[in-house]
Amino acid sequence: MDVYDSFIDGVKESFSMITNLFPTFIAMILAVNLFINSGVLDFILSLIKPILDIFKIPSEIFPLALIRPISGSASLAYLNSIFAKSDPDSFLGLLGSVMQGCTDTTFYVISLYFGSIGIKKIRHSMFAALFADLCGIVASIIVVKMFWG
Amino acid sequence: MVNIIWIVLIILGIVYGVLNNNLETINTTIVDSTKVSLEMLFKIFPVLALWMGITKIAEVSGLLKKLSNKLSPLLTKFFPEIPKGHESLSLIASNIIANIFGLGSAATPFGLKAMSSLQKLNKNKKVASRSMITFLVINTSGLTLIPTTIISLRMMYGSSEPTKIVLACIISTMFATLGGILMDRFLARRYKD
Repeated sequence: MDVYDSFIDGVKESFSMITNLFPTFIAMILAVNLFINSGVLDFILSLIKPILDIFKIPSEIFPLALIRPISGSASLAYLNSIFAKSDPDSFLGLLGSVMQGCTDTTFYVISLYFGSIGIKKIRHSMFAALFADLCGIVASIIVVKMFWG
Repeated sequence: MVNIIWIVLIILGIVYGVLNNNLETINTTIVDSTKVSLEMLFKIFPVLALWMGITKIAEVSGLLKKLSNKLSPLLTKFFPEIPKGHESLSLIASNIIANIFGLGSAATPFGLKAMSSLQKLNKNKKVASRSMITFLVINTSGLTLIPTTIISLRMMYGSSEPTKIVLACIISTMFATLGGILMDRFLARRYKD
């Protein structure tokens, strides 16, 4: 078996993958950044705050839950700001850690994986994936409350 | 679906920006986003190239086949449409194994190759197959046992016990994956094509 040739062949394949990814990247980042930077996200948050207060969920956590499926780097940046404001071992810090850790960036993975092979109709995958995120977010709140609440 | 989400995100962003007299932010965001995407692409390209090379060695040497043989009895339950012994099963197995150990950068090339392998089995090349959707749902729901990025971030901010969250993460991830798979099963049965 020729290890060197296998390696070179593998690296060669990455070029075609990157060319396929670039358009998807531009499209998704444009849309997500417009959504976040224009202030729509903050507006939605202000609407939802009263509901969170009923369940005694700290409202500072909500942006994380909302951004998490959309942008991995944005949610990590937000977790960063939570840690900076309150200790990573506080209830909010622990909840943020678990919430960030229990799901992946759904929008990114879907656009990346389907974009790379030219799928146009993704059928029910977005809904099922977002439902998984919701399960993870709800579970993280319950688990953190049980462990350290 | 991506089509609709894309349009909705953009229109909401622009309309809200215009209503709030925030045209400048909109402008800079539009111009910057191409730059940001290129930067992200440059960030993942070298890692992708390296791992594609390494995974090719693992593939040619038969290591992947061995790994997947162990996982595949379980995987065939989740992916009934994939014929036994098909290469996509071993790629999916490798992706899952890399994810579980927190090797996100290694998982992505396997995942992308699994998708193109599933595309070979797909009848309609524009429409996602059932196996693709199941694979995607498992992937987006996390799977990680050791969230390395978060642990290091917690360390950075002086946590007394950075790994304290690991068990809670694993439990929550399991609920996410389980919920996603059940929803996928339910919807796939409902909208048979």
